Amino acid sequence: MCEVLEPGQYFKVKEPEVGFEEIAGFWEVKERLEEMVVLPLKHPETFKQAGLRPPRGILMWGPPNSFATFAEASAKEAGVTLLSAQAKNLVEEEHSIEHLFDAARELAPSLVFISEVEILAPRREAESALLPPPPLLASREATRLLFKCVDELADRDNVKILVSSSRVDILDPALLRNGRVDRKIYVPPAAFEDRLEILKRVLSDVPLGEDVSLEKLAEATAYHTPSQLFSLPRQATLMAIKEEKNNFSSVKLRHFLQALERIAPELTPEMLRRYDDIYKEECKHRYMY
Amino acid sequence: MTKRMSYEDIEGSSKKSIEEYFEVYLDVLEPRFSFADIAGYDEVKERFRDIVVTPLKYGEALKKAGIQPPTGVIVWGPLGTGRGHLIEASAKEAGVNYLIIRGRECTAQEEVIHRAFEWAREHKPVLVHLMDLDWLAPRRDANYEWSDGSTYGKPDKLGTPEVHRAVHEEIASVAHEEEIFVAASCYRIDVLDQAFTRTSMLGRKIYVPRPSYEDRLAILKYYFYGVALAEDVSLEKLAEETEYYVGWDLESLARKAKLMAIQRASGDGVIVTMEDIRYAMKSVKPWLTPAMARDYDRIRAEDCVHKYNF
Repeated sequence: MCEVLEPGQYFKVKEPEVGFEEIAGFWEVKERLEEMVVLPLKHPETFKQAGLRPPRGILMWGPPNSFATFAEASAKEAGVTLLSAQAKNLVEEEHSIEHLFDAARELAPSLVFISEVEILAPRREAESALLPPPPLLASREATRLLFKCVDELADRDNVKILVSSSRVDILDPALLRNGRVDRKIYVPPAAFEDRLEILKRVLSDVPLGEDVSLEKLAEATAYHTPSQLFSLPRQATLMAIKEEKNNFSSVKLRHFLQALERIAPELTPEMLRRYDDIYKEECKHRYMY
Repeated sequence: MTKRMSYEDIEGSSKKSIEEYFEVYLDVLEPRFSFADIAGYDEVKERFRDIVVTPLKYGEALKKAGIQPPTGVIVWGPLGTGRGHLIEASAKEAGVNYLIIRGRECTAQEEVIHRAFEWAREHKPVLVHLMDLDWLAPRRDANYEWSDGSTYGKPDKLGTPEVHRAVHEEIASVAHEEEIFVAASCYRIDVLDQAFTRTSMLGRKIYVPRPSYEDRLAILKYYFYGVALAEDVSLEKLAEETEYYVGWDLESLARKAKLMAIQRASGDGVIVTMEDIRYAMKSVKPWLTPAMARDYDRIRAEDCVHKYNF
């Protein structure tokens, strides 16, 4: 193994495990990812033949969501290596960014995923943002390195970049310039159907009481993120076991309600409205293929 | 039919060096497009040849003839009509250095603006492409509302007063320089600080409208060049149906249609059928609404015509 293959503490190189099948709901996001990431990595020659230059860098943005899972699934569908990094780990050691992209080239075809990219490429006037900026922001030098690495990737490298952010209001627009991360996918908050689908899957093994209606639960969790829904069955089961001790037979509606009291929604109507506003007024050219 | 540039051509464009930090905010490019690479818009190209290329290329002759050449130009029109490509092509035709300042990226970074113009002064002759001037220097009462009540395309950040002043200062200082030409692009002329349209600043305007039927046909031919089309595909008919689509929309449409064809592709290669195009049209909708198109026509009609001439 050569030196660049050592990911160290900055990023993970992993064999992707989940595919699109394992992600409930969000079919539109999955379709976009299929078009922008999976097909071009799978059939680069066909794209060349059709004279179609696939997007190289893609931003997923929207309210907090399991962006990393979307990236993992895309890599799995395409059958490529996933290099997954959290921006906050790349900030401290600048050379780790170069290291990440070198490794991606070495392992091509590959997909580079960076989450919370706004930490690595923040707007330089963060005080105008609506929410306070995250405590840790990259130095100008780190931002410059990131842009340089993205610029230097060529089509023949067969490396795609996927980044995610829930704070596009403080994201440096220079990252989204043509030739860098120039395509966007909006990942909306989980709709009722998505939440129902997620609940169906996470509760498939849980013995449910007769008074539990998944539709009702999906309605009550409008402001919960998908990852919060994943922790719901554990919490609810815990509540049931605490109450019924060894007589535990099933998880009833009241246990779910108690659990929901513990798991406070991560989203607020105000937040969702703001995301919606940003999406609506934006020019849509970057969302097209 | 215009030959399409292959993507190796675009990839190969060499970046000239510009130091350190600024290289990520400023773009110094070898111009990639010539007017021949831009489909349609024959009349608009003529305007660019007159107003942008002539002063840079034939400055001497103009001086001999006793004509004061234009000092700069404001290029405005809907997003995605190809304003940037047209400016880049002008730089290529004039054979000068080409510098891009992306306004939306430096709404709070006046040092980038100063550095850019400093670079321009050191590298004459040069065409400075100042993008998104309306983000940097909005009118005080700028109103981005369209007649249907929407505010599509409203900048999410506007330039700070310092940046506004820096841009004004720099443009004023290079206005008398014959070998520096500033082409600023902007989204709406009626939200821009009027100080910039004075003859001593950016004295001329060019409006790049949404494409006409002929333009759309030429653009579609350009983007479908080199890919096999099924017999039932009529680009003429498609051009008729794509009113309100701008160049970027048409590119997305062609890309999406090709993508559909790729997904279907079997042994005998990629063939785009009318069905692919119909499907693509369902997801690629024009961003320009009829109300916005009407507003553009109105703003153009209300604007004084003199600045649009040479």
